[in-house]
Amino acid sequence: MSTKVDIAIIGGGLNGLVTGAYLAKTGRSVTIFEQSDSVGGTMSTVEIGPGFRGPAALDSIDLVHPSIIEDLNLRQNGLRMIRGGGLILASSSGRGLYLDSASSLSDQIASFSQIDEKAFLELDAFLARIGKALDPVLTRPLKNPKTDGLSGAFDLMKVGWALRKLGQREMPEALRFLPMTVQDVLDERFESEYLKAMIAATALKGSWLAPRSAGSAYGLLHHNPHWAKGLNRTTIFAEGGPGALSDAVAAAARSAGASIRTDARVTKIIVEAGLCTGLTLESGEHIQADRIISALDPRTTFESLTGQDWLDPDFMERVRQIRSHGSVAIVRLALDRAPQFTCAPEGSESISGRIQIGDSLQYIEKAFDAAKYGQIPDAPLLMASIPSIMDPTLAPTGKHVMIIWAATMPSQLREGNWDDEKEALGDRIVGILDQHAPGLRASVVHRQVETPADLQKRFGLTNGCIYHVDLALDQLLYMRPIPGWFRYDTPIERLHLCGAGVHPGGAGTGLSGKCAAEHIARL
Amino acid sequence: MKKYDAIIIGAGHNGLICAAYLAKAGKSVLVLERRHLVGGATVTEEIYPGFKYTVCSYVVSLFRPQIISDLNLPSHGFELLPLDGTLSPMLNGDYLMRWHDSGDTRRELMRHSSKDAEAYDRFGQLMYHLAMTVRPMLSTAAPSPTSLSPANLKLLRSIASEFGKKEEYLFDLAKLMTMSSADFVEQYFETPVLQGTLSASGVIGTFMGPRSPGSAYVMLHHYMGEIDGQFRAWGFPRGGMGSVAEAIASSARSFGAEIRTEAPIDQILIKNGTALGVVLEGGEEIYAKTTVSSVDPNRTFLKMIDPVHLDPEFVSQIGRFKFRGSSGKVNLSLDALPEFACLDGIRKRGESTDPYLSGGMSISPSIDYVERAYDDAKYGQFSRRPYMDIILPSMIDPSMAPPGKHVMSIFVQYAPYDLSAAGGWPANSEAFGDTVIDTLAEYIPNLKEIILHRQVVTPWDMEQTFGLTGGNIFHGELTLDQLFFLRPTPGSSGYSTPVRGLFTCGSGSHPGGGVMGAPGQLAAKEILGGAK
Repeated sequence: MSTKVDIAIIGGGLNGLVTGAYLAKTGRSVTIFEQSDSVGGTMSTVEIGPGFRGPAALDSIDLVHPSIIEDLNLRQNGLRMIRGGGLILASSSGRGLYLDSASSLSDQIASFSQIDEKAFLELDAFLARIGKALDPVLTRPLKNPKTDGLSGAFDLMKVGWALRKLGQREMPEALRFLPMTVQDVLDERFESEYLKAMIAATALKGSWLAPRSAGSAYGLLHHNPHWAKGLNRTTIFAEGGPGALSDAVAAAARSAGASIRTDARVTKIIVEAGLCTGLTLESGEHIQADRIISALDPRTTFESLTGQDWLDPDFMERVRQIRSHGSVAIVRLALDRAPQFTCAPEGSESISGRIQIGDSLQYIEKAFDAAKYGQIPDAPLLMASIPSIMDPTLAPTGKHVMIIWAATMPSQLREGNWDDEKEALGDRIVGILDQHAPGLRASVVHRQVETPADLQKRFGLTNGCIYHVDLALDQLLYMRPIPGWFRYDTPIERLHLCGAGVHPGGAGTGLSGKCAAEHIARL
Repeated sequence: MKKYDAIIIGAGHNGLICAAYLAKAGKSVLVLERRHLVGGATVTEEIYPGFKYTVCSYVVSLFRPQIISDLNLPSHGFELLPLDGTLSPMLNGDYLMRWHDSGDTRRELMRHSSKDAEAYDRFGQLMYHLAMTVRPMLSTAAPSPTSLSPANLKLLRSIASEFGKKEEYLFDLAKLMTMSSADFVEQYFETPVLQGTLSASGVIGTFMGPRSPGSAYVMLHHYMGEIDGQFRAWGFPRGGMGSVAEAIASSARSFGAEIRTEAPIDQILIKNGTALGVVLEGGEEIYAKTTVSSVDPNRTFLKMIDPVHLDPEFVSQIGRFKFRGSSGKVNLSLDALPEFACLDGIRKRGESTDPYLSGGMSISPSIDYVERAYDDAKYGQFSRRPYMDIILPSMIDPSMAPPGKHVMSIFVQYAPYDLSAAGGWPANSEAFGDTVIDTLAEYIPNLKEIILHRQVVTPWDMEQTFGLTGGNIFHGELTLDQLFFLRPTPGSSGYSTPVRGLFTCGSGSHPGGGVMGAPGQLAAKEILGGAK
């Protein structure tokens, strides 16, 4: 059995869907193949227990680029955005930090430190200024200054000019900032350990970096982009869970004429004489395609799908050199009542935003120390949210769902394996939460634990790396995912990449998919 | 009263080189040194009778050949003896020996991994090309991306065209600048002891572990010396490191420079934003058209200059320039040759172990070993099991110790300047020495029996005795945010400073530390160029 399509997209996660929707809007015939029974990948909603639904992996939709929401009419396609509330930083001392959403973050910071309030505003404004100056390279496809001639050179000049406009003082400061460690950036500016830990966690989220890793400062920029209101923002959830965002993109794609096939796992990309011609599905079905775009990570694409017959050994060496570290385990809980954190005031507002366990840079660094040696840290950095507080559609009345990112986890355990450790990890994480929100353990009615190994299996992520390719300085811009291959093309003709592993990289912005579509639409 | 053309503060190798170049150009030059001898951290001292210690720096790896010839150093007694390879002992009784001869190294690597033996050549080639790509940056001042001055644009263009010639290596260079040394070497090799030893060169003098991004550049920085052609640029100077400084001093004097020791500076004299000279601690004032500081930026700008003469913004930039000292030294006098357990087999066969002991010895059995050593330091402790880079100077130059006896130079990392233990370094220096000896004795069983004398140099000592702020051997860490036009600050990276007539020429300026001499040479060039 053989079917023919014009453009086949492998993977119906956020980026695959965005690429599909944009290309369909240009009038091309697009078919998206998704292995699971629903779209969204890491940006989807799953059942946690009967009547309880919650995020599969990413919990909020803060960072989605506004142009995508607008271009794809996501609101008309069913997306409803809900603003979350306060920030809790629970400390082992029992005190911690609580910032509510009723007044601005900076006002509340001023109540414990004038220095930190000033520093917070300055850092936020600084990130916004560099972010805007770098906008042409951080939100657009990169041009090749050599092959794109004038227009390529012009783009770089625009960035150079924007950087120069930062001024004699700030331009060197911006260049100094990017390769720094987030610890140095924060130590130079802030005095409150709690606040430093809270800001650092935003920079390190999901990455294989510790506060003292050079280049982690770039994470501040990547995860606090100016379009999402930077550091000074509240969390944004999608009503119905993050899957609602993917569903809205899928609806936009369909209405532009794309078709989406779920339960359609691609097992092979067929390459003949250096040209890709089609796909094979797990069912054995053969699909002919004029052009194939893989939203999967580059290692999976080239190591498992294409075969290496038509790839240069040097290119494959570069593929193998890509560093993809899973560093996150996910715990989803169904709770029969709302938890009460000791460091936050009573009431649902206090738990309607972000919750962090990990109260100092040293805490985070030590957690990462264990992960470096393939061990599970005793005290991991936890980042959690309870989306059902603001979104009652996710759980029965009075009951709640909680999702916890246990960061600073190793992709592979040096001793033992993840399957054996998984439930113990769940126990430990619930135990830690229970210390900060007494009674939480007793309120758990369902629990799901997904280790980096599970994320690899479930979403097809190499090593469970949610960004496909580590967000590290040597794997960004012209080097993402492979030095020189930053243009969504591959050595195989008519095969392209559009997932989080390509420029500008993941974190739920949808920009990798959008940029890929922009490039491919011109071909 | 005599007014000099230039006063140089500090007679370390960079200060002396700058002085020599200025004197050679016909300037009247006075070098002022706080200690009783020249050399700074490039000294040989006979701390224990008959045994000469290379107290701080212990090998010459990056010294610019151009300087050696410009200053006629060989005729002033400078002679470099080759270090023939690196021994990395392992606790299981085996070892890895990398010889100067690539064929020998290949055979040795084959014992560990044929894949690594294969990759070693590729790695060497790549590092060679990367070093050649970066090298032009070491021979010129760092261009600033903010300035549109014609001189700066010319510099940018020449660097860009040098890079253009090496286009195929630019991506690898970009990776090397941003990766961790561990990730970088893991791309090529699988043998833990080889990975450990190679990646350890990326952490020397820097408060980073092999898994810290950015450490790969430091590895290249150390690799560069080997590249400069011949073994001459990578070795041990006859007579110890002090003879490097003495040769430069002698060359400087031959060009007419004056050198005064035991002349500590109290302050740099500044009037209306212009440096006029210096005031010595005794109150003596000495005037010069140009004042050049070879001491680190922290001492220069925050200790020797009244802050009223500086823009507060500049002061705060200098204040946050990172000087986290991370290393110490232990120097030993030995009654006999140390017997490495891993060389037992060679001794049993009746062969000499001398060739194995005439190069460097590196205690770096794996990346994890070095990384764990760093983990201790992050939290304010010296490493319980430190990384060590060792040489036996007396094996290379027998004049360093009495016949049959030896001196051992042990570079130790990590020894964080900010020690959390009670009493700080003065109270813990001997405990640090004990830890070093205990760890090393695991590899050298007879070590404790043959020690005649031990000198422990902590980061605190380096600051107190040698004036290195924070005990940092490079006058500021070699991290990407402190290199090139950012070293030490965007406004003072070109050897000139915000104070008219005041220049810097030490390792805190581009291109940075190591016994390289480039900052001293380039500063002299800048000063002479500006005077025209």
